[in-house]
Amino acid sequence: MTRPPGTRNFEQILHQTEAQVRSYIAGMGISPADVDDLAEEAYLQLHCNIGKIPDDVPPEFWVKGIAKNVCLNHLRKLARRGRLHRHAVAEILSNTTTSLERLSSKTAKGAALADCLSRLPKERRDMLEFRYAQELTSDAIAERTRSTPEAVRIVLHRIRSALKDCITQKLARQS
Amino acid sequence: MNEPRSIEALVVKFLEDRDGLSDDEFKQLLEALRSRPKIAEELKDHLMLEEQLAQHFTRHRQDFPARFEHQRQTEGSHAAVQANRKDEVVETYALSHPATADVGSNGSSAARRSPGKAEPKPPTVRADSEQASPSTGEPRHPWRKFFAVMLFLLLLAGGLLRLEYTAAARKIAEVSETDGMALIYRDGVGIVADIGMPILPGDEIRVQKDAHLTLMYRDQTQVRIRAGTTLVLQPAGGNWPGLLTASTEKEISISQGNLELDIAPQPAGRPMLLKTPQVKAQGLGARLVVAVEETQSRIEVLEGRFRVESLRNQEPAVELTAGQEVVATDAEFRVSPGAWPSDPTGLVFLLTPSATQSQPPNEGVRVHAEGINHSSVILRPRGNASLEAGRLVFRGGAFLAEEQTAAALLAACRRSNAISLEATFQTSDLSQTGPARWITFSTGSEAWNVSLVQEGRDCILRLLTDAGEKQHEVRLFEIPDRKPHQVVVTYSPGKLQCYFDGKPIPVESQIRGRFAGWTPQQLVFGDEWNGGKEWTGELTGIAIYDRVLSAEEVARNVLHFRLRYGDEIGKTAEED
Repeated sequence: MTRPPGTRNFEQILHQTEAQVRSYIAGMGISPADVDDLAEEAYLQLHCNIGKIPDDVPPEFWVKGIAKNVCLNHLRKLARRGRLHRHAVAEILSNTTTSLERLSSKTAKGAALADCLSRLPKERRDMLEFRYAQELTSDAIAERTRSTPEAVRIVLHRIRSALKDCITQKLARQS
Repeated sequence: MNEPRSIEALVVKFLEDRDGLSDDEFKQLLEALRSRPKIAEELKDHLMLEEQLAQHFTRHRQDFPARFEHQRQTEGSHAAVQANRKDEVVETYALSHPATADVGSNGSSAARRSPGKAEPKPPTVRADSEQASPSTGEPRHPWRKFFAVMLFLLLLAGGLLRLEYTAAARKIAEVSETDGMALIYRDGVGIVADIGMPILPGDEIRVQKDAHLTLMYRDQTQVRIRAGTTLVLQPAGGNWPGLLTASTEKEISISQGNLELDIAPQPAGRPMLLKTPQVKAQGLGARLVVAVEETQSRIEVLEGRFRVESLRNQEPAVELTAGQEVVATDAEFRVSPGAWPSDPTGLVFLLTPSATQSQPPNEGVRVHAEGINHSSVILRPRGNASLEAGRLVFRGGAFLAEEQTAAALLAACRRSNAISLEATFQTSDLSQTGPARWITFSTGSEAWNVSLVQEGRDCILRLLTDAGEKQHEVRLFEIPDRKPHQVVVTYSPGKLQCYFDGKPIPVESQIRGRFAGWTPQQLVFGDEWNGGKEWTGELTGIAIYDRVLSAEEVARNVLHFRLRYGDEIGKTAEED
């Protein structure tokens, strides 16, 4: 059963789901530079077919379904070396459900992330700033921190792991 | 992570750069993701966390809804077009998966559905080449299709050009028949010809002694090459048409030997060329016989027309018609009617209209004819018979061949069990009986091997074989008038055929058998050997063969005889 077009509020869906959908797209292994473009593509399709979302399906899942197809199509059409591997990785990841996903809602996850970030030591927070605010590569960060790129990558990995544990615990407590 | 360091390193490397792994590393990572779901969960959490951190820290990524709306509004019309196009895609999703898009992102999705409803499946991913670029939302390059088509055409042209140089494409003709040793020299290497072998431009063909070879072009033009012949097809080479350029004319360059050409109709402006050391010839469709010796070329046209010009002197080019031949040497370029008989093979007796007579002292008149291998044959008149203007004229007399001629005829026919009688006759009386003898190989009314006789208006063949009644008598045709006509009768065991003025006529005959029962007889013209069966009329152009003439050869002989010895002889009543 489908509603007549326009009965769903696209703006509302967009605001409520965009963060999760973009995370979902990134979670498929899509390059960060492409995430927002693919998300726009997915929402464009949603906008054109808003009336076709079944009543009993949360819009977020519908959008993620569109996003999944958009991403796989995108990877299939990549001309780069390793596109088949990228596609395979994306398929596996899209079919993987993590504990963090199960627990999250946009608001709660955002708050948990902010709280966990505030608890990080300054040098670690700086490292995240370099990486995600200034969008520096590991090589550039290594130069600034007088470290090695490999060490930077490992440190960043450990920071993310710590943040994940922190967020998971917070959300679990809240739920 | 408790995973091996190498997998962790791969995960870290992939997080750093999505395209940074080598093929082997990707395979290793994929294997780990498939076999250890925990690693997949770990990786996905990191990827999603990275995105959340980027959204948190990076200002320009923080207001996605506003950016999306802005993008949608500024590109309103374009987006609408895009949307319409994408509508088809989503429509497909909706039709295939009407319930939802369960992407496996939340394990509780099934629980959120109404109880009792079928579990929705994820949308099928479809490759859609018309879809706008997912990464940019922009349409694909408008020239993309054009370039794709051009690339396809380029590849097609390249493929065809490549095909053009294959043996199949460059094939001029192929060997359709071969007997004996015929060699095809290609790039200096000789190959023994075999049926089906392609002939390429520049191939030299050498047919050895006692061999022959037949080539067939694609348009059914046929080249029958006789023993001792050397020729080159398309000697220019390289330009012979393949699949793309069927525009070059056929060309044969013969340096020595004999061949027969049966040229299928050629396109206007592209005649088939024939070159010998002495002449250059061309035509759009004809049948030819070509004989090339060291200092002479002879081309005879059997059918159609063929233009011939000399390469050795300034004689103007001539167009030969059927029955004509040209003989070209360094010194002369002579056009004449074709030879009669056109093929002397198997000739046992020949009297042409150019036969002469002599009368040595103290001897009677002798008419000089030819026997086997052009040997001299003497005919002696008896009674009122004479040679006048190349014709044997009978007014109550006969001509008798010498005994050795009769003996040679007997031996040849008994050996081959075949015979052909060819003669041009003109009867003076349509009611004479006897039957009156034209040509007879006999010694009396009861002893004969073969006779051609007249009984009233009927022409009758008498033939002795060793089967059935043995002495067979068959009515061949009704003599239409008192004008000259040509008759040819051929026989081989079980096959009797008669031609009147070059055309086959039906003969009701059950004659079978061979000539094993033939006995020594006399060869006589115009009467029986022992007399009493005189015929009044004229005979000329008499040829007796120990083989069967083909219908084609008979027709050719009639034509050649008429061209060579005068219009009246052999002319049919209709033509007259």
